[in-house]
Amino acid sequence: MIRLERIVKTFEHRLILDHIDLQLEKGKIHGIIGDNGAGKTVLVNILSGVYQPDQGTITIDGKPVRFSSPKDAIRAGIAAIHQETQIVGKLTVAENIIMGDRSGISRSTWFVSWKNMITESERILNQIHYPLDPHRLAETLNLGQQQILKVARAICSSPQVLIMDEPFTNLSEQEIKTFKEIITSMQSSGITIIYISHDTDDILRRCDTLTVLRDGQVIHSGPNSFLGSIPPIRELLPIQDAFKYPRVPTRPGRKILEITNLKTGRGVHDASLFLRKGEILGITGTLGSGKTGIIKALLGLERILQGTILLDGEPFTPKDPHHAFSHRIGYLPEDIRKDWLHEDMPFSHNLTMSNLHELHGRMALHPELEAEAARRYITSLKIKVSRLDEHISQLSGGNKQKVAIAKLLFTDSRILILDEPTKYLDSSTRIDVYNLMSKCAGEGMAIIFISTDERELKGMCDRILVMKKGTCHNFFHRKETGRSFPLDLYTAPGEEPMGQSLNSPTRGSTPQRMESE
Amino acid sequence: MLADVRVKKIKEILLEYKHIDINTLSSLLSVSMATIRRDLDKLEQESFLVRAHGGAFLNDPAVDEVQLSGSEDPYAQQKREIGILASALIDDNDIIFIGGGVTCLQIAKHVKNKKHVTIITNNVNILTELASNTEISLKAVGGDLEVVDQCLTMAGDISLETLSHMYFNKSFVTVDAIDLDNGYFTNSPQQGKIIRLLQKNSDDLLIVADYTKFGKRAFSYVGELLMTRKIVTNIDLSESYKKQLFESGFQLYMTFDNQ
Repeated sequence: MIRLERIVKTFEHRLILDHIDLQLEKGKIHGIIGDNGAGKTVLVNILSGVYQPDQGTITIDGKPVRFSSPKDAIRAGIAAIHQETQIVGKLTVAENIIMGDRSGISRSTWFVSWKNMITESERILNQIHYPLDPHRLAETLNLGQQQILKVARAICSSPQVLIMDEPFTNLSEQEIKTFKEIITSMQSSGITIIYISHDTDDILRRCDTLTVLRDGQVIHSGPNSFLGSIPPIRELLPIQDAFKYPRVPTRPGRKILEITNLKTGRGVHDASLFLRKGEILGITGTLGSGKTGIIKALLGLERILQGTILLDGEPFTPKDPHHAFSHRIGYLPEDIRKDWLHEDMPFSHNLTMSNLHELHGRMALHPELEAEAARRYITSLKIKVSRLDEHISQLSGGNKQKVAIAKLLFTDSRILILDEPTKYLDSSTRIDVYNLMSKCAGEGMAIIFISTDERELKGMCDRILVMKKGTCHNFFHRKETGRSFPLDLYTAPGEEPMGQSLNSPTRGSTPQRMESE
Repeated sequence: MLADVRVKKIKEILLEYKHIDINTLSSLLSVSMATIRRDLDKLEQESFLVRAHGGAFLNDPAVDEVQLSGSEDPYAQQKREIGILASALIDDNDIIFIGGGVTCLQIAKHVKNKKHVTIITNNVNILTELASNTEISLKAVGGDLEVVDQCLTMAGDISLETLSHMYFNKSFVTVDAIDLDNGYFTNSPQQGKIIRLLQKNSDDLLIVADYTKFGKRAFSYVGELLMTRKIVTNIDLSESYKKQLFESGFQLYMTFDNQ
């Protein structure tokens, strides 16, 4: 039994956890839900030794414990898969796993047995039925595989308690299935699991107990069956409704981008698409479908073997992301923490570094221009910061995403590429992001919206491109997507698709035909 | 900027905002306050405007109608932005109803570039606003006169009788209070009756309400929260309302502060 009593944590005088009391029984699955900024992640970080509480005690089986580092927590049998754990790209799969706990492979403090490391990591990967080559460099894995790697790292110390913060983000259907099997098998072996997710359905289905956090306080905690019926939970339950997205209709203008028969070194075999001013084009597909490959080619990160890109009617060969940026193509990466924001820099520097030309005086940058820009975005996007020089690392997930988008808007791009912009966000921030997309499209920007959430794609996009195995599988138009047929991401081309709607005559049989209207 | 162009610009601004202060004009046009004062004096001689302390009012009888409450509306800008956003939701060939209140008046002011739109309204200020617009087919609903949020508005049995024979693609109405548990409220019971009728007579009922209307109740109950699922409001709406409305399946349109 793990017991948390009167846990208090503040950051920069802001109360993040407000006297949290929590009891976690052994061998059970405990679900924690709450908004962005409710304190879920901070609570996880306290339990796993990343942060130390300002007040309050943690006891395990009646004995008080104090973790001064994650290592202490691991020794006490508590391992965590953090929402934002970093995989070290330049190390191998085996090294990434074993860095979770080295004690299993070598008794010496000074030496590492590489042979043991490989066999041990293979054993762990077999345990979760996910074979990966232990010699492979972690940076060659896709985000889904990296997430599995985090699990392997967490269970390498054979923990008694496993904390999972939003574990299904970035996973494909198949991987989620694997992941859920891992959870079930670990539960049957008696491990206590703490499970944090926005997927309220899955939490309600899976967990023995439920805790609801709001503004740093526990507003409900108890057995799942009792809680399922009370209002606070029901308020958090997502409602299946594709019509709730606030898209203001726009009249698309001229074609601003046209890609024809694109083939790249990796992932994309034959892709054609166009994008008009004022339009939101959705691109979806499973991992490996080539949806990110197109974007990489557009940003000059992937070699183009065949095909043409026309930007405003002029041939455009992207050399690198900076080249693309200078042609006013803005890209918001999926992993903003790794690829976009600088955690240990102030909010205002983060915001403006995407376009320092705006701040230029004759000799140097003008700090007052930076402050003005920062204040402008704080009011217009309702970013919650206490000071302009507050570090990004102090902000909640939803606010980080808003800063990330503000930074993109500051570039004055005419094409915005948003890669899963709502993935980590709770409803109140998501609705802000949707409205912002709608506003940008209304002002004549062209938006490419990459997502695997069918509902948001159908709700927000004028057209949706479904990618499969590196080719354009199908285009959907807005008037069709309002109806409730599946986008059919998971059947491969050539296979017999499910559902009668796919035989619908309005669809057209080839993507090219839909394209040329 | 040439003096002629500047004076023309001031006229445009005044026609849109009805009144403005010298400070704002001077920063908008990037000229000194003294220059603005000279321009305003000139325009006052032309009887285009009336000078007031620190600013000027458009010399237009319609302004008096808008200023019925006598005091400055602190949320005028928010209402204007809602009006712009809501007007973007009108499609070509739509037959729409627009109700009473300043927020609804702002929708009418921004109906532009739409083809074959028919507007039916009980808001007298909308009639004067759109009277000169030849692109729009305009129809009025008669009834008993009420003042709803600074606008002269028709209501009562005559209005209900007229509206009961009509059908709309979209109806835009404003309410005075929205409460998650209790639903929608208006100050006038008569306006509530009209909204209840519109719910039956419209494909889409859209509530336009600035963020200050949320989380409170008013005198007259209109209907439960789920009588419509479309709201146009400001980004300033509280997080808990955004979250609960979005998760209850509401299509929540929000305006951003334009600065």
